[in-house]
Amino acid sequence: MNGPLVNVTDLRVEFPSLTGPDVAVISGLDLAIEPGQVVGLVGEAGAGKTVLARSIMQMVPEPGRVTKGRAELQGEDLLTMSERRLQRVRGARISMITANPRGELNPLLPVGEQIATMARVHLGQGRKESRETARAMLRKVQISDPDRRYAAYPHELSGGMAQRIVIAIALVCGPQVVIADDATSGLDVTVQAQILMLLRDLAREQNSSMLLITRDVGITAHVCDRIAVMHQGEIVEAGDRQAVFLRPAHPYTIMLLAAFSHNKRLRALWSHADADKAAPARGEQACSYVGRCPLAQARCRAEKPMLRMIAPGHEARCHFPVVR
Amino acid sequence: MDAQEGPQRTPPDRNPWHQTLWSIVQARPRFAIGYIIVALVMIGAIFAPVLAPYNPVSANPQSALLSPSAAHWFGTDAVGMDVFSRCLYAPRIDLTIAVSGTLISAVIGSLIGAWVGFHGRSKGVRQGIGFVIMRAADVLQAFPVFVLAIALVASLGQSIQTVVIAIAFVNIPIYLRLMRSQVISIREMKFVEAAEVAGVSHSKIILRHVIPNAMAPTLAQLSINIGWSVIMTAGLSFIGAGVRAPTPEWGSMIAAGFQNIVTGQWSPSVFPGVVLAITVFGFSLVGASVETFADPAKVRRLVADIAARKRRASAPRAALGRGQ
Amino acid sequence: MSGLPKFLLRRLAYLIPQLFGILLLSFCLIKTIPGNPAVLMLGPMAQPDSIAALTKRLGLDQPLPVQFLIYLKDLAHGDLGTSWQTTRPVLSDLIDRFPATIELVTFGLLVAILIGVPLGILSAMRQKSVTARIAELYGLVTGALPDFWIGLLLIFVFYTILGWAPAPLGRIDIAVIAPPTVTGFLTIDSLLDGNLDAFFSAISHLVLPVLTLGLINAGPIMKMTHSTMERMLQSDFSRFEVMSGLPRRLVMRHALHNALPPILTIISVLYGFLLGGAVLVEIVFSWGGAGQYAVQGVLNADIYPVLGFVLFAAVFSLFVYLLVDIAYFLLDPRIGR
Repeated sequence: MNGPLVNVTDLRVEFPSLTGPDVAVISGLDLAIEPGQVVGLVGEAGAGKTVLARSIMQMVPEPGRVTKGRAELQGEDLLTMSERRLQRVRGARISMITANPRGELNPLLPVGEQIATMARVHLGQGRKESRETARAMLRKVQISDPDRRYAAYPHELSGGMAQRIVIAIALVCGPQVVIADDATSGLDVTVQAQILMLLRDLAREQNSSMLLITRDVGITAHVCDRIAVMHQGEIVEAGDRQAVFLRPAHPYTIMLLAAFSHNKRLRALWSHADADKAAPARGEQACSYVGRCPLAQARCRAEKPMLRMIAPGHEARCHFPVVR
Repeated sequence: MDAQEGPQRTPPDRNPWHQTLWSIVQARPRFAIGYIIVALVMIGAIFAPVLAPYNPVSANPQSALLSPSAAHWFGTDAVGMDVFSRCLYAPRIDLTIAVSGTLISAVIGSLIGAWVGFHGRSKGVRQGIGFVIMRAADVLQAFPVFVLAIALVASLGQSIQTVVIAIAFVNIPIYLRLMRSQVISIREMKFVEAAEVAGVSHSKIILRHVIPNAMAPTLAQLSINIGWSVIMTAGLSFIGAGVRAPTPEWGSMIAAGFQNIVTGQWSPSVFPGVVLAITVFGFSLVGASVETFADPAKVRRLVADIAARKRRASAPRAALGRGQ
Repeated sequence: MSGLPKFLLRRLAYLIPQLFGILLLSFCLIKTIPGNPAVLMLGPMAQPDSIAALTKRLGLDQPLPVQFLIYLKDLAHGDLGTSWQTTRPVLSDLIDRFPATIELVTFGLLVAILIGVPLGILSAMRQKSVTARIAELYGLVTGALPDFWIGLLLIFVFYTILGWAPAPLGRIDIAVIAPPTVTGFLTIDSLLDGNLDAFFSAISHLVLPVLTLGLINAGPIMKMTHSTMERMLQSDFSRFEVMSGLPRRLVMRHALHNALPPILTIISVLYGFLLGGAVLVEIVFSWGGAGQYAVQGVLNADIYPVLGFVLFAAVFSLFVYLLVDIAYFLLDPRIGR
């Protein structure tokens, strides 16, 4: 197979507003995921991460709309796919896990049945076989006493346990890509790490790619191969984990890392940062970060920077990337 | 993370308010119809002495049971009173009763509901009182509403004030529950905590901070409930337990025409019913509009509809849609 | 299902204070009536000494709490007072008339469910379809129409003009011999009796009032079904099912399963509400049911029939709620276990 597994190009998602013109929540966004790769997508709340994930699933929250671009899975555009075909792709080849596991599960169906349903729908298994598959999956997500838990209802499970079930549902059909949108944020810190490791190991075992969306930079440092940093609907920096963590180039990435890091060098680099003087950028002619950027210059207000290569496999959307 | 993470950038400029209003009217014409109906009925009632062609309570046996004509638009009833004039005067009674009954129940119900909701978690006497109040509401709601109202009117003596009291009384539990459930969730919010820490008294917190933030569902209920109370008032009068003839009132007019309808003179009964139904319809539409603006999900759908209309209106932009 | 008896027991324990509250409220209603109840009970033509005797017998010269106890004691003996209009005990009057009301209300509610639930589900499934628009308009319009007026219109069209329906005078043709009372439901009793004439007569008399109640009350059922179904379809678990590629049919079925308990609630509330709400339709069709009996009582200052009816209806509502609780228990694993 040539080319990336998932390839998002020039994506634009707009939300109409009652009192003004439409607002672009995502614009000119490119993102590629290679087979077997774990890509971390980080950014603050409101950056458009969830909208991006939902756009790839072709489930943009109302009243948003994709107005431009493509989102391909193995060369096939998901955005123009028929509802019928999408139904066969979702859950089977690309699946998604979100932050509220207990809400994601049907409260009136035993959790084991919910896993088995996936096997019946997507893998064409019979009643008995699908139950076996579901039990095996329960064991894989390390649920103790899987035979008893099979018949449990979602309200009887803890948050961590429910998230394991959601993971089992998402992975039971061996999807090529798993999108984990903030999948651990509602859980205890210790459980968070367990779930994350479980997710990574299972994905690796099935050779699934993963898009790990989070606000927590620390999480990506542990499990991701590549990092993409998102700010106001754009990718501002993308590169291998090493490159982004050790040689962050975009001022926003530096700020983000500094906020999560005890690294003195990073903090020093950002000593003159003043994140709160935020005056949002106006129009599409300026860099979207210019209002918060301590290194902004005249050009940043006049011309929008493109995402360009600053080192092999390392890109940044900045006129004046910090290069060391 | 919430799916609605999204437009954080302030839109560059806002549309003028009348343009926004006009686009809402275009997308939801029935809201406008509702406000127009309510306004017309109000105007008709206020200016009835000027607008009505006949005295609403003067009987004229010579012209009894006339069919609709140029002289008597809605015909005349069994004692020769002009049905149109009476229909015009009727909302003076019906709306007065319905609006005051509803308002009284809303104020009393909301205040009690807010108090109960606010003290729901506190221990001791207050919680006990709250419990008793809620059980009392249960009991009240176990009674058949209409017969309870009749019984109240019967035991308090038949008068307009009694009908108002009866309507207020049977509606109190609705507002009590509505406000209580709102307040319970608002109670947990930080600004309430902040006010408490700042030493603001409980009654002040409830009145200044909690109730204003919990009003939306109550307001939506109000308009719908007024329409419903009009039907109830008419029903009470219909069986002779409310307003008595010859006072112009829709229910008693329908009752007066009841005997004639079996023999084929439909107009004395049908027209008051039509006017009543249109009035109540108007109030429900107004209620539906308030409900829409109080519910974020409904606002999102409204915005999506308006955006879809705009796209259809500007064909060139529509051609630029996704997937080109 | 081992939890069901325990669950029921808890519900019943809850029922007793509620019943007590209902009794207390109806007692208060009697006490707010101005004048001497003995006078009301004996009617306007009563002699002073018989009034004095009744006052003493009823314990009206006792303090209020004692009177309440007397009231409870009478109730326990099945004494709901006497109607001076029929000069019979209210209890036996109500036992005669209550089935008529329940028959009417039950059939009316069935029609309302048959219209409302499918319409609500369909309109929630196809958001912008013609069905959805019709359903929305239907909900708004029925919410604005008084049922007694619709009853009149139906009479005008189907009796006065077309002559298809029988005259709106009661439950069965005067010429037809009514079946012996077993359940009090004329339709069932006539079938038990094998009397088809009576059966068809009862059915033809039922059609218009049942249609009136059904058409009007389908509105709220439809709205509730629609909004609940919509909420379920927009909920996280439905979204996750769509995101997991489950077929639309399955997603709908699961949403409906989750929507059933709230739909059941609105139906049960309506059932209780209709007992009283059907009063107007009963009057329009001269139904002779308990509601009409109560209203006659109100209009003629005959208070005990009113209280008896209120009590019957409230107890009936409580009973229906209990049934719904059991249905809830069977439908939803989260409840009571």
